[in-house]
Amino acid sequence: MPVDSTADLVPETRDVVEEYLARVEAGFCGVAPRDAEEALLELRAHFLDALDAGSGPDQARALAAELGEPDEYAVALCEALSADDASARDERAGTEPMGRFLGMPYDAVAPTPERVGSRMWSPSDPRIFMPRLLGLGWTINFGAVAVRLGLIEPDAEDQPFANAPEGWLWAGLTVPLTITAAMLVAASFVAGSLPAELPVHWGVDGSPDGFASARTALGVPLAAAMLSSGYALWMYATRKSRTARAISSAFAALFAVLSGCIFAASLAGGAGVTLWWWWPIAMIVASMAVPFVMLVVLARLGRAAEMRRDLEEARSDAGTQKGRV
Amino acid sequence: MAMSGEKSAWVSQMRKGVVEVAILAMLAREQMYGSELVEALASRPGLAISAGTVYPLLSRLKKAGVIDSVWRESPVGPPRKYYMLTKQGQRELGEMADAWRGVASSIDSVLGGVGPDAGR
Repeated sequence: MPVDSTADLVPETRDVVEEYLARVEAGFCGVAPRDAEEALLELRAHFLDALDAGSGPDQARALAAELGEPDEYAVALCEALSADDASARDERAGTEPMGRFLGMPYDAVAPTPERVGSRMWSPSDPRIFMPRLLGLGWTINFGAVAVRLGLIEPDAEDQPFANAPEGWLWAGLTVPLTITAAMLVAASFVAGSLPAELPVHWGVDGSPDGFASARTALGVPLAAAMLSSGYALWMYATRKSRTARAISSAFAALFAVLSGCIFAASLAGGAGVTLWWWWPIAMIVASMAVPFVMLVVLARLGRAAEMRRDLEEARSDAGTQKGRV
Repeated sequence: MAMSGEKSAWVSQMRKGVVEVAILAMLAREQMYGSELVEALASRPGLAISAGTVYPLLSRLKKAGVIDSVWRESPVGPPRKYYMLTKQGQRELGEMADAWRGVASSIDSVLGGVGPDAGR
């Protein structure tokens, strides 16, 4: 006699079925509740179809064995339900955002150098705008830009910057450090002769329309530059991978240039200089261009080193083979 | 014939699954460099594989030890990074080819005469 609900089953049989279903449910991870509910209903129906009011627990166990371990079944269900594209997700592991808010990607996981690197420099990925590392929006994939401009091949380096020469990596670090040092020197020079307030905001015509105390106006960009340089310095001091160091120096350079420009604009405003209308654009272009050039140079040097290694190996192999003949 | 979103998503998923076999099979025949491989794959419209799919896949396959790469002088132009199968890659390609043939023949027999072109 067919049954409509597990309540009509023999108690022992019912327990086997209910336990299996409960364990599958417990194994669900990140599946939309509606999908999960539907999947469970289907699974329940599968059991009820095959069992009848007289079925013993062994029959239920045989059915369960056919389906496999409940946790494995749950994982398979999760994959089928949650992933629109599991293989693409694997390939782009680490570059996918946590989620979306009003259509914009967001992320709140602490940015490790690997995660920064996978979005700031990922030449094999053709997307120029990558989901941003922390917070809302997008970040620029400088690697994709370099590929579009024909400056590097998507597969030029096996691991970005892994073969970039040490000396050049250190040269990269000097970029944010020099800018920060220059800001410190400038601040100490003008410290005694500053007006009480300095401009911190400008209108479209370049005339200042927002002011702050001199301490704040210069202190905030200075602190930003020092923090980002300090981060890069720490990456170098703790001898992180070349990839991590290259990325951190470019990342720090971006913030150092940006805060250096704001710092300079405030100082210039204090001296009565009206900014040109193109200054904000120039500021953004410069803060993108500097890390871009740094990364392209390091990547090309890394490629050259890789190439040299392989070509020399081939040459010495050819030499030993000739020697044998 | 335009396909609905669901169907075109299915087609692209199916292609993604087989790109790997296609890449490994091409590299089994001869060593190729990245853009050469992209062009060779792009010339097969049924696969519809773009550079954006090939390069991330190449780096994944290399990390997995299925393929290897080496910079070599090219007969024309600058040195290029050539890709080749490793021993493991050859083995995996063999297994994948068997699996593919099994799937393809079963699907063909299930499909039988389904489709607008059937019976022509």
